[in-house]
Amino acid sequence: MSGAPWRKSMATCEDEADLVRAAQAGESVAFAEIVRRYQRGVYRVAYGLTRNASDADDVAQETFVRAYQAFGRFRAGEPLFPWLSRISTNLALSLFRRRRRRPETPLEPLVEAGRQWGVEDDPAEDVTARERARHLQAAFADLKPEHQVVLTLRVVEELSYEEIAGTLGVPAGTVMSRLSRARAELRSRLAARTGEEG
Amino acid sequence: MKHLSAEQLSARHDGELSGRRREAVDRHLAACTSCREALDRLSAEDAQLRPALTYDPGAAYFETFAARVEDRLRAAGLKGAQARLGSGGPLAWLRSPRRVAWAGAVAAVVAGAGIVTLTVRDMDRPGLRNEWTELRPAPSPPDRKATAPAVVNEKREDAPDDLRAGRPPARAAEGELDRAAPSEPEASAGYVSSSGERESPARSALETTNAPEAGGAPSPALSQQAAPGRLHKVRRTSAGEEVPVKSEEPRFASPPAAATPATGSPARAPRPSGAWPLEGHAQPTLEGASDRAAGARKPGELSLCGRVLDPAGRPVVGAQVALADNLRIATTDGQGGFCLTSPPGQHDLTVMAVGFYPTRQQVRVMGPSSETAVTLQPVSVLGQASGPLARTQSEVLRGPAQDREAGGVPGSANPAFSGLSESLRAAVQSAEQLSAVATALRSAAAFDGAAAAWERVSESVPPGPPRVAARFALASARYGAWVNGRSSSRERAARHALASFLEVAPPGRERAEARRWLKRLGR
Repeated sequence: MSGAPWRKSMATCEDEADLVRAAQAGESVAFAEIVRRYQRGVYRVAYGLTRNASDADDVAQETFVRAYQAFGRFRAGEPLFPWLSRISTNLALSLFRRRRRRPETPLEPLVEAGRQWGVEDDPAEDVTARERARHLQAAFADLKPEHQVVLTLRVVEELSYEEIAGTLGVPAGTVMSRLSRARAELRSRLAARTGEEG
Repeated sequence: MKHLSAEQLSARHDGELSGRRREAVDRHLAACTSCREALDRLSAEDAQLRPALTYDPGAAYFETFAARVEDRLRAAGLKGAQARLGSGGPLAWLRSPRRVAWAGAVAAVVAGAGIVTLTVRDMDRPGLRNEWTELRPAPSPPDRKATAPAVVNEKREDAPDDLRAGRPPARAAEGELDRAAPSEPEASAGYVSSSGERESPARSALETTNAPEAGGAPSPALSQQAAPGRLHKVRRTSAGEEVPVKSEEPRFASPPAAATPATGSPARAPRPSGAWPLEGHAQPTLEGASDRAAGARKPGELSLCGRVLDPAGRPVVGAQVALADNLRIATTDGQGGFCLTSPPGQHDLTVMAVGFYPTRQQVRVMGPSSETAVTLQPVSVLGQASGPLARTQSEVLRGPAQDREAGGVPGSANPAFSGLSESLRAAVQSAEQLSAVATALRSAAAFDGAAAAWERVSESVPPGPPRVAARFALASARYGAWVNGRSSSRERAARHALASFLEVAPPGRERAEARRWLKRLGR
């Protein structure tokens, strides 16, 4: 995955600041542009943390609703995406916690979800790879929420440590140690799963 | 030789080491096979994890995303976002098994016209939203300040955290998660913490769609919530009373057996105005009767009762009946009957139901009770040969005099849309409904809502005739908004929409019409 798309707009940071100011001034066109610019990134974060198309949709949309509501207090010139992904992350985590109180809903079958959107299932994908992906997803789901978060932001969204730190409001050093732990944890959980079931 | 730590490897893998630390790590890597292998393993693991955590819902999803966000914003009662983002997304809540009702962009109608034009359809239509609708005064900002301070538990593992705990967060911008300060609910409704269970906010983020009002719209705001728990619809009357809108009953005409058209002499009910293009093909049947007045009425108010029938004389259940000029609203019951109260005098009665064209007629309310009957013309199945909706709209723009001669079968949809997928057809249909509503109400806000719906449609339909037709419908809705409520932003939007239509428009009547509109905008 070559560079998260939002980085492109980071390059035109001035443009983004203008956009933010316009949106803050009530230009809904500007806010719509912000939504369009970051919808994919926000969705990726939301999906990484929920691994369920429906929840991801909910979280991603709600992220922008919250962002809109709090937008007046966003500082123009700050990078927007970490802020948005923080909102997403918080929403996903709160969903996660709510779910944990209740019985876990099964993961939405990806194939079905793909069909729903008219995305063809990849016929080349072989069974073992799918099996492994399933184990990996399950192992990932076992991780502590903050480990899921750092991994998603890093691996899926390819944020820098500093950006992740900004997103989570923790020091960059914490991101470094947490990521390392998250990876180790994932590795051992995956091994446990494939050892048990494989 | 001491091997690299997991943290060093992880940071090196992420390209997050610099300067001397990186040099040291690289020196070690050059000499140590096992650490190099560990580094490679990290790459492989990331490469495997990425697809497991990624899902692309497809371009269509993102095309309508902003519109759906705007729906939610509108649902939250926020002002300011309605102008351009679009509304009522056809792709939302796709997975939901609940019964479907749509009211998406009708919010704009309500805002503009002050009446409920809520249509409810009790059948599963996978392409449409599923939501809970409520007409109520704008919510006052709930006091959530006390909700819960962010509690951050970062003890267990992150040593650097402890060292830096005294420092402020890296960025304590508003709306972000502060480590100790109470957070505003909107932006950080959940809290990042290393222990999911220990923190306090019981309020879950996604449950609080109804956010504090940003602008405080004084008029009743239609709030649609994706509240999973609320499966029923509630309408708030102008008196502030909540009326559940049942959705268990069929919303369409009941079997003929149930149809006993009201009898009586045409007495107090006035003649139909006949000026409304959408009813031009069959004059509403007016059947006077009396003694059906019901409901509590305010002092000085009279009751107006009636029935809504389809052309076969069967009752239309769940139709929305409204007196636009004084905000009286009713929903027809199982027999198609309704009663509402009104000050005496002449009023415009608007009737709307999904599957039918909206109808408006003048009624005179006098005596202790008045009765009227309204016959709705069904919107016929999409894909028939004549009478594209866009023309309906332009008929109105040309004026009532020409409407009658315009002919055409009401409700026959534009054949350009016939080849679309089911969900797109549903989106087209709801956009058509909104256009029809806007046309009936001549409300700029309603046209805005319709335009938003068409915008989504035109973004989603394939190129060719469907896109041309959608762009024309969009352009005429934008133009209609401008005609009925001139403003520079509407002018801009209309100009833009007309230009996009003209980009793709083949020669013909619609093209000529669009050019004419464009000229009129220029004046």
